Amino acid sequence: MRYKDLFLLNVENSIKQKAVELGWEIPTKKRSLKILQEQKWEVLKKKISSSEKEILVVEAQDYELNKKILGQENVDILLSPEQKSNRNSGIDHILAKKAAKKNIAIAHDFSVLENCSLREKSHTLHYWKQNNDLCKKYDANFIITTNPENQYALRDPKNLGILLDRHNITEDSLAQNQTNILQSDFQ
Amino acid sequence: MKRLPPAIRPKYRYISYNVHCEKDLEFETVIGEIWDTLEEYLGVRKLSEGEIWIMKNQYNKKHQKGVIKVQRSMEKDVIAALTLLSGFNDNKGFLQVENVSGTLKNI
Repeated sequence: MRYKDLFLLNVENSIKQKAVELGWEIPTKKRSLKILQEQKWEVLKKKISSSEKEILVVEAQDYELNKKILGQENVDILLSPEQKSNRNSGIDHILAKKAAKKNIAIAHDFSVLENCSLREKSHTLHYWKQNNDLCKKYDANFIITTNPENQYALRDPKNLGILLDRHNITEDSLAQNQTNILQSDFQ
Repeated sequence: MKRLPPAIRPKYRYISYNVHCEKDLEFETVIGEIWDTLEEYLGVRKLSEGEIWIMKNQYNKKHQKGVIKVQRSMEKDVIAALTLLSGFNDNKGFLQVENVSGTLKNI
C-alpha cells in the first residue's frame, strides 16, 4: 500500500526526508496546501472565495460554522471537527451528507493525541471511529494526517495503519482517500 | 517439571523496534516509557494476557534498537500502543516497529 499524507506538502525538507525514510510517499506538488483558521464566518468566507488554486484546509469550528464551511465549493478538507465540539464528534449525518455532496474530506489530526490526557485520547479515538463510520455510510472522504510540526511528530505509516485498524478505522484514510483529494484537483 | 507439548505451548512474536529521539537513550529510559504506554493503552488485564517481555539483552544503544517478545494474539495491540508513544521523559521522540518475526533469529 502507498501511504500518503497531504500535509507533508507544507513541511520543511528535513521532515520530508524523515517521512520518506519511514515509508511515506510525498504527494506531487500540483497545488500548495493552505490552512485557514477563523472564527468569524464573514472573514472566513472571504478567505475561502479568494483562494482557488490551493488545496484548501479549513480548521473546524462550532457546528453551525462547520455546516456553512461544508456548503462551500472551494474547500477541500475540514480539519479536526471533534476538537471544537462540546463532547461530540463534530460530525453528524447532515454534515456527512453535505461533505459527500461537495466532495469535501473530513480530516483528523494525529498530532492532537500527543499532548492530551488519557480520557481525551480515548474520546478522540472514539470520535474518529464514529466519523469514519458516518463518512463510509454517506460516501464522504475520510483522512487521517500526522500534520507534523517536527520530525518527531511523524509515525511509521504501517504502525499508524495498525493503530487505526485496531479501532476499526479503514487504512485507506492514509492512502487511497488522500489520493482521491489530489485527483479531484485536476477536475 | 516437563515442558508443555508444542500444540498447547503459547506462540510468541518478536517485535523489533527502532527508537527515534533527539538524543541517544539508555535502556532504562526506553523500557519505562514503553511500559507506561502499554499500561495506558492495554490496561493490566490485557498486559497479563500478552506475557510481554522487553528484552534487555537485545537492546543496542549504539543503533537505538531493541526487541519485545509478546504472545501472538497481542502482536497488533502492542504495535498500536507503541504508535501512541510520543516522547521519552522530556525528549521528543517515537518508536518505529521495524519487523515482526516468529523467531529471534529472523529479526
